[in-house]
Amino acid sequence: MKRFILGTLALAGVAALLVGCGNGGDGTRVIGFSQCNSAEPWREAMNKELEAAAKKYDDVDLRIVDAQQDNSKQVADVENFITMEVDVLIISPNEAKPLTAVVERAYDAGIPVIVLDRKIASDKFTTYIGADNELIGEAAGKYAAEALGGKGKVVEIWGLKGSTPAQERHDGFMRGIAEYPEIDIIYEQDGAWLRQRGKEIMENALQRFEEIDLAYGHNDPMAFGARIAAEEANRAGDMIFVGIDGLPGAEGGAQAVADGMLDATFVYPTGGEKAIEIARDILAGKDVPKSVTLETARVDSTNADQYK
Amino acid sequence: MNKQLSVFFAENEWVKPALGFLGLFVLCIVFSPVSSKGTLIFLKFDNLSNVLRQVSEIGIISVGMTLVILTGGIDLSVGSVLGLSATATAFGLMDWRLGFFGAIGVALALGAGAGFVNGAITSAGKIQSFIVTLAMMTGARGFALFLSDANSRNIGFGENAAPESFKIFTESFFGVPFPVYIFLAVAVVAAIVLRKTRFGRHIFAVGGNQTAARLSGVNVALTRTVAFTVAGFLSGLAGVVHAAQLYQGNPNDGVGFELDAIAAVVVGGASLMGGKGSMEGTIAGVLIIGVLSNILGLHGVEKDFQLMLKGAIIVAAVLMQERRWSFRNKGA
Repeated sequence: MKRFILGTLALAGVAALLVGCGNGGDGTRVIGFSQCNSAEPWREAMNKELEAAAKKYDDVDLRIVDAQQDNSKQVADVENFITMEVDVLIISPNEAKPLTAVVERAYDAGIPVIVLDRKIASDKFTTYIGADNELIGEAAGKYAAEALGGKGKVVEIWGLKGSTPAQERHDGFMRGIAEYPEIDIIYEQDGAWLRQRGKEIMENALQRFEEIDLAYGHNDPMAFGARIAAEEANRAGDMIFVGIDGLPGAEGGAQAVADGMLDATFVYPTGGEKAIEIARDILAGKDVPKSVTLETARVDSTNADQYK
Repeated sequence: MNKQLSVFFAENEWVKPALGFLGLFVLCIVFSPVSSKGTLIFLKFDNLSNVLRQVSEIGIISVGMTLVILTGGIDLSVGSVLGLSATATAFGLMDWRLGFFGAIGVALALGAGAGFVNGAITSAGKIQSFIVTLAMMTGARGFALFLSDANSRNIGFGENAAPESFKIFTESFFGVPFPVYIFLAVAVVAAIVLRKTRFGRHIFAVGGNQTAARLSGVNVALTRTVAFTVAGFLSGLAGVVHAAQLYQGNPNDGVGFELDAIAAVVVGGASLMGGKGSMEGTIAGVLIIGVLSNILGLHGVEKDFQLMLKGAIIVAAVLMQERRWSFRNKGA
């Protein structure tokens, strides 16, 4: 008897799943989004932006699954979406190589694929949407040059060395200050994207150098850490702090700018809204570009409130 | 003479790491960068107090780790427990409105609770502590993410925010930051407990020879459980300090701290087999690693080189500990 009840329950569960997975019969289109890791604040913001954009349309049903930074889980997630025959697949791959094959399989099965932020190692996708870290770094560099009046000593706190975004945010920044030979990067260290490392690096820099005019962090938490270090050494006074990412929310960089902790940050857009827009275009049968580069925006004291 | 010296080294395990630290300190003075005014930057009071503050979290954890390692165990969960405690501190102050003592109390209780569970399962279930604390490392991280909904929480002050009293963790007294006093107090108390109390002798007895300890009336299970509970409590304390330093509780913080703590304890002369080591040695180990990071940081040495050098130092330190001094055998 017990077994019978359990069996019935299991069957009912499977049936419910099957019903749930079907494409809504009333013309609703299902967009499946495979997120590589929802635990990162920036990716959390991406999820929220996608959800908000999808909510605007009655005929769009957005489903988000989180691979928790696990390649094999993400492969399984995409396989599930293929089985479910979603109308559009959006994927932000954990790593390019391990996810390429399954994304190609989805594309070959006739599912339009939007690749968000990180690329795959193939051109079997419909549209790639991403921001350009080098352009963002350049915007930060130009701002630094302007804020320093073309002359000053800079501490640069790197994101994880060896990661592409850190290298690009550095290269872009150097391009931004290239015309100003009197801007010196006097100290640079790898802060691994962490607030704690940013603070420690700035503490060392403050000991080592009597004059520091600007601290540039490859993300907001590290720039914030540098600010804390400078404040504790009573030297934050006329130092300038620049970060990147400009996330919304109480813990985000935009709030830090609004609070006067950072002088400026540059938005690294998540592309969530753009992805839904492109997905709708694909479903409407319109032609879409193969690649979309998202624009950054400078967040400073004049406009921080809009980005919070 | 040589024989006396080697007996002295064998009986006072903390001497070698302490000498190692002094040697490194002298090297740091010699190779210190010089400021424009001609002063040695390494020796500046501010810099030295920075070093002490930077090592205080790992230092507090290492004290607990030493107790566990002396009993022949290991605690891999300290980093996750620190993350959990830092998260609880921030949420306790900002969201749950527990006030100064409430928030810190919850954070410490979570740490001690995790440590107690580690110790109780290790003792009662007769499972290797490596496995038990590996499970706790995963579980505590998960619990921190659950409590915080995977968000970090910034600590702000003022109306409807954290009480001003919490700022004590970032203040300095006589030029020395408060966390340094916490670390020193914890270390001194632990050193005295290890040397002077019955509990201290039991710790060595359990790690030296468990069977002999039991036969001579030592409550092995209780001693172990207390050691793990203290280690958990101290990880919790380090978590409070961590949250205060960064004005933030982040459930993802503290990754890899267990390895830093184990490295400090081992550099300090303790044996992972248990029964051999000292609190003084561990403190020397913590300082060696802290001073090394500082001097490399002041010179702007790249991280790749820093990591290689640290690896080499750990191996060299352990070789120094394990090797009998060669002149001993030759002399006789």
